[in-house]
Amino acid sequence: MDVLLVVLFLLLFAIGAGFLGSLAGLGGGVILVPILVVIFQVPFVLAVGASAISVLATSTTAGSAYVHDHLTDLRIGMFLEIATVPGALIGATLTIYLTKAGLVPILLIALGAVLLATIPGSFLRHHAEVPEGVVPDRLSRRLGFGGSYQDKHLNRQVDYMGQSTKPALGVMFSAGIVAGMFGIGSGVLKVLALDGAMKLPMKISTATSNFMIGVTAAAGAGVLLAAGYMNPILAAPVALGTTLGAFAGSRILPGLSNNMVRYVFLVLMAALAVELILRGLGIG
Amino acid sequence: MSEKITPGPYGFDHLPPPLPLRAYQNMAIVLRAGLGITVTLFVAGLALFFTEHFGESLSTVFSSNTFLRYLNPGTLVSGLAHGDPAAVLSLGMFVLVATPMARVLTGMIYFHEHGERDMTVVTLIVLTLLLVGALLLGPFLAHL
Repeated sequence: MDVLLVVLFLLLFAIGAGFLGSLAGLGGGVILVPILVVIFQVPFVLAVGASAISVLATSTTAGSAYVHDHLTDLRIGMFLEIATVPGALIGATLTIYLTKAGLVPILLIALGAVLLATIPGSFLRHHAEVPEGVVPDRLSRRLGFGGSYQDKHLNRQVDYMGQSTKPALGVMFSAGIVAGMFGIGSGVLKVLALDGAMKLPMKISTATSNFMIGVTAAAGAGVLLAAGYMNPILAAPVALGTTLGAFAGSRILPGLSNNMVRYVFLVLMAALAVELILRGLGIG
Repeated sequence: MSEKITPGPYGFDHLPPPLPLRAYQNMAIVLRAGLGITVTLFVAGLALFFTEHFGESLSTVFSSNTFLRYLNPGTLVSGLAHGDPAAVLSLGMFVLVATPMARVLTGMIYFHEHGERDMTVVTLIVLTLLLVGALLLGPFLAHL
């Protein structure tokens, strides 16, 4: 096939993934690797590299807005990166090692399982706009994990504190491994740590998660890039398309009820996950 | 850490003061600049790529990953000087990966200026890990 057509198709699929992912609240990166592997027959490790680059681009776009609006808790975000960054380095190393060892089927099955596990997790997020009954732990007190922000929706200033920092670190380390291995944002796990364990307000949790996704993706992408597992002809259109799609999703349809889109996205994700697992098992 | 602010809802009155507005603004500038440069390089690189490879099949283009030679800075500069699309796209990827690192560095500078020793050390560790991954671990894995 003509390379121009392939790149155009890549761009279109990436726009679609970014758009749907943004509306579904999961990010387009989560289905990019399966799309690249299943539809475009891209080698797994190159797909992971391209996806990591696209996650970087998307999170940088959103991150600049969140940081500018002061919704990002820089202290909490930077501190938890102590767990996500080594996790991502280990994850990327595992992917390269398993690829070189000819064990790509294990990676396919693992990614399929992660995607399937993400589906119920995507319904658990954001249980409360402003959590109550927070008891700051020693680390939160020492490092000053808390602050306040002006909530436009609630029309008041919201004060918040963090708690359970150590369990959050554990979850973040796992999120880093998953992100590094598969070039995805692991937003569900990050929100689980920030929202579930640390009990941060939803807006702070989302913005801080996005802030961390960029740095975590940079860790994994840096390893893959330096090891030579990136193809710019693949990564550039995918990154441009996902960013464009995510931007359109966040700007064009902000008032849309996203449940139907989310269900469609999750069904698509489940189908791709099953296909990956079947391929990993040698059945697909 | 000793400066007090209005107590929060949990009776916790020892929060450090927030980072100055300038810190947030500069981080946003770093991110936007990095993204802007990356998008420009990606668009320019793809445009150059299509003019050079118009009509070629996928297999001929992907038969070798021309990017690999641009991991060497000297070769990258030479490739950019000759307008090689792979060099332009590669530089875009380098800038994109470096952008969050620059943001961490910006944060570290502000934590240091703010007198927050713990957070300065934390950001220094994160930055070191990022650099170790890209400059040591990646090249090591390439030769594994």
